[in-house]
Amino acid sequence: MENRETLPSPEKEKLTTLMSLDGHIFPVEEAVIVELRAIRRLLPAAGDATIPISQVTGQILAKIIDYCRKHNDHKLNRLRDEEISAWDRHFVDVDEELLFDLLVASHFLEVKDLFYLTVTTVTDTMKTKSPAQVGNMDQLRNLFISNFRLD
Amino acid sequence: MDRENAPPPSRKLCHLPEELIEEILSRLAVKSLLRFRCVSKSWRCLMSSERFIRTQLEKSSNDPTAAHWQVLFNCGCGSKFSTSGLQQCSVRSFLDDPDVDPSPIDDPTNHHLTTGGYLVGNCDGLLCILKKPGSFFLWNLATRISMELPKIDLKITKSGFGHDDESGAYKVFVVGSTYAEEKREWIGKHYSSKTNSWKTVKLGCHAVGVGAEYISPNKWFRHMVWTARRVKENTGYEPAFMTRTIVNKRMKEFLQIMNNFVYVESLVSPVPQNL
Repeated sequence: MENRETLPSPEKEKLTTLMSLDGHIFPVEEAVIVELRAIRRLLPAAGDATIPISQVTGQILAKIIDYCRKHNDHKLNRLRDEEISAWDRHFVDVDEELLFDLLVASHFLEVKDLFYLTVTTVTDTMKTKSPAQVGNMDQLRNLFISNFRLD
Repeated sequence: MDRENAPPPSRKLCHLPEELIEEILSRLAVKSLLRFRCVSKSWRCLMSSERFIRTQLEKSSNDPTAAHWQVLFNCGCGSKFSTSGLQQCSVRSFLDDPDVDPSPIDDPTNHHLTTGGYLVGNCDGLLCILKKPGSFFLWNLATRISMELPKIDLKITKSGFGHDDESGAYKVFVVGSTYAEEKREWIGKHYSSKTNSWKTVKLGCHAVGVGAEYISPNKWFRHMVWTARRVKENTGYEPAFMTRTIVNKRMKEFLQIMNNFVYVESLVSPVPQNL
């Protein structure tokens, strides 16, 4: 019998599990975690535990993970510059509410490129708005300030 | 990270945390900002805060697309505004087409500043204009606010305008002579926006005459001398004549050449705080 050397089984890529505010589970690879700078910092302490992202809903978290994956593809040269630009434009072509959710979440998770993409998009839409369309007397604003202050 | 929190309610721009609102607003054109002043008291407060004004200016000045920069026309350095008066167009449209026609400045209140004067300089969105014999004006074209400085009684030969980082004041520097026939004396004066007054400066004269150059130990004064020297080199320059060279230059070099003629729209106020 031949003594064949068995090839070592490929090491399973380390996945980190994230859980959104509404309980959705997202196993994500290293490449994505790298982009979520706020989460990256928690990694050494978290170990294998699921990381709760209590400020972000599943819908938004899914989109952000999608963004990170696509931009990782671009980094690895699987996508050309024009392709990623077009993809980005399509990505932010959403209704205002969703756009703001992405803005706040990308700021919270510290996904720098996405944050600036959403800020620029919001700035562009504001050029044609009137003060009445932009403003709204609402005391909830103060509630948000206390929610999102990162200590 | 409390899981008991309810899902965030629907978002409007003004519901966002203040730091994010600031991030967005600091990228808008001054025109838009002025429009949104009435949205809420806190927005109005934010926009008039010194920190926000600086942030907006910094973002605008470092913007590689020059979105909020303007080019001035008909204001050759050291010479009076041409008969068609001061005009402007955006840097973007100028780079797209150097033969673009500039537009008159839309500011009825300050229309008198667009004719019969000299452009002393511009800094942080403020223009300094001299109307001889001794009236200086600081004017923010984007916000349409202007202010006349206290008059000085000098026959003005050279003047410069800039920001003094040490004191945080905007300063106008003037070199001139008294009107006395017999004993004409060369005098230097500088205005500080912090004190809203003129002070006399000691000059060490090297050579006296039109286009004189002065040397002084004062660091800030040296900067103004440099400005005056540059002005002398560029006498008679008008942006419209520079089209061929400009088209081939990159943005930074463009700014270096244009210097006096390009300004960044800002919220900086010409009116001193203590007035």
